[in-house]
Amino acid sequence: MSYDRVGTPSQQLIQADDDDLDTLSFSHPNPASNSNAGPSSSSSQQQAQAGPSNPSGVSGRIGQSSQPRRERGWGGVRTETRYTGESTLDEPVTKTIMRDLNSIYAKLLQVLYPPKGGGNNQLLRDWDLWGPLVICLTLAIILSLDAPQEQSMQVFSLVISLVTIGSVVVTINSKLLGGKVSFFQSLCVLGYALAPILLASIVSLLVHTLFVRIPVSLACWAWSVWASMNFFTGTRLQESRTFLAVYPMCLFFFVFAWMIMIQ
Amino acid sequence: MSQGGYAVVDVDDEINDQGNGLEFKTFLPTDSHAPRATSPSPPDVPYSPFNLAYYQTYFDVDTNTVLKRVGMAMIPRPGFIAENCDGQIDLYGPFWTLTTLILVLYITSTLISSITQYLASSHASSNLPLLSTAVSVIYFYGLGLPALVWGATKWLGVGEWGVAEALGLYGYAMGVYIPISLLCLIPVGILRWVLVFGGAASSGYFLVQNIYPVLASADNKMTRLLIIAVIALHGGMALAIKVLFFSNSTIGPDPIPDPMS
Repeated sequence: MSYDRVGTPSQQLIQADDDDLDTLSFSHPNPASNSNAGPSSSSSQQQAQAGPSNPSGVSGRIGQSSQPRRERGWGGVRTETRYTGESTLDEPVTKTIMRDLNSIYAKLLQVLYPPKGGGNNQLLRDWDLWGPLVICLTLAIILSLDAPQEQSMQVFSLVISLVTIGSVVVTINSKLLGGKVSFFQSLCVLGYALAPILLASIVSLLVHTLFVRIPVSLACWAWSVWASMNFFTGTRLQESRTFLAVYPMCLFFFVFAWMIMIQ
Repeated sequence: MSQGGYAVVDVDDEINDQGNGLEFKTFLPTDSHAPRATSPSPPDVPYSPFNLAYYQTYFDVDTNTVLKRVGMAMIPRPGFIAENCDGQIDLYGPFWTLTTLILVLYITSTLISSITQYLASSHASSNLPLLSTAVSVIYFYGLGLPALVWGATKWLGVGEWGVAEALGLYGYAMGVYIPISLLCLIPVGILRWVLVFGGAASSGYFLVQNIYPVLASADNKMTRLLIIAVIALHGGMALAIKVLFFSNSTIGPDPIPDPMS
C-alpha cells in the first residue's frame, strides 16, 4: 500500500481516508505506541480547536494519530473502537445544545467572514441545515412583523417558500453549469449567507427612515453575495461561466433586499 | 489510404446506424434535429428525467454566449436557433430571462405603486401579492405554454423540434420585456401602453418568425392555424402585464397631477 502525498487540502482529506483504510484492514500498527501518542495529542487538539464541533475532530483521521483507538479480534473479525474525544452519552443537555450552537456559530463566521473563521473550508464539509432553518424562520418572522396586519401570514409563507425553492434552484443551477459542489453543502452555505439580509431586516424593523433602510439593505445584499461567492469560487467552475453562476445568487438575495427596502 | 479510407468510412457509418437503432434510450428530438453539420454532438448520456448530467448539455454555455443570445432575441429575425445558437439551444438563458423578468416586474410595479402612495400620502398596504402573481403568470406563459404548443405540434404530427427549442424560443422572446418594464417607470399612461404593445409586437413577430417554419413544414395546411393561437395568447399576455403591473397611472390616480391638487 503506497501512496503519494499531495499538497492541496481537498486531496489530503481523500488521502486521509486511504490512511484510514490502510490501518483498518491491511497493516498491523503497534497499538501500544498509538495509545501512548493518542491522548496527549487529542487533548491538546481540543484545547486548540474549541471542542469536537470541529469536523477534523470528529471525522477521524487515523493516519495522523489524533485519536486513540483499540483494536480487537473477535472470531477472526478485526474490529476497532475509536475514542472521539469525549463520551456524549451521559453529558448534560446544555452541553450538547451549546456544542451545536457553537458549531452553527463557527460556520456562520466561516461563511460571512472567511479570514476570521480561520480560512478553514473543511468546516463547511460538515454541513448542517439547522443554521439555515433558524435564519430563514427568523427572517420570515421579522418580515411578517414588518408587513401590514392582514398580509403577515402571506409574507411569512412567501419568505419561507422563496428561501427553500430559491436556494434549491440556485444550487441545481450551479451543478448544471458544471460546478463541483455537494448539494446540501451548497444549501447550507446559501442559508448561512442569508444572515446579512437578516441583519438588514432587523435594522429596518427598528429604523423606519428610508434613507437608512436603502443603504443598509444594499450593503447587506452585497455582503451576502460576496459571502456566497467566496464559497462558490471553490467549486472549480470555468472562468467564463463564473458570472452565470453568480447572477442567480444576486437575484436570489436581491428579492429579499428589495422586500426589506420597500416595506 | 484513399481507397481503403472510403471503405473504412462506409463501415463506420453502418456501425453508427446500427448503434442508433439499438440505443432506444437516446433522446430522439435532439438526435433528429441537428440542422447543421457543425452542430455539437447530441448528448451521449442516456435519457433520464432524474439524471442531472443529462440536463448539463442544455447548460453548456458561456457568459458571452448567453448575453449575445439575449441581445439577438430582441431583434425579431427568423432562424434564431440555427443562426444564433448554432442549432443547439440552451435552457440557462430562457429560465433566467424569465426569472429576471419576474423580479423586474415585481420591482418596477412595487416601486410605481409605492411612489404613487407616497405622493398621495396614503399609507396603504404593500404589494407583496404582486410577486406571486408575477411568478405564476410569467412561469405559466414562459414554461407551461411552450410545452403545450410543443405537445400540440407533436399531437398533430409536426414533430420537427424538441420541447427544449420551444421553451428556449419563448424564454428568449420574453427578454424584451425586461428593458420595457424598466422604461415603464416613466409615469405617462399612454407611453406605457405604447411600450408594452411595442414589446409585444416585437417579441410576437420573433415568435412567429421562428415557430411558423416548424408549422409550415407539415403536410396538413390546417396546422398552420396554430400560429393564430400563439399570436392571440401573446397579445393576451401583453394585456395581462399592462393591467396587472402597470395599471396605476391609468386606473388609479396619476402620480404627476396628484401633488398639485
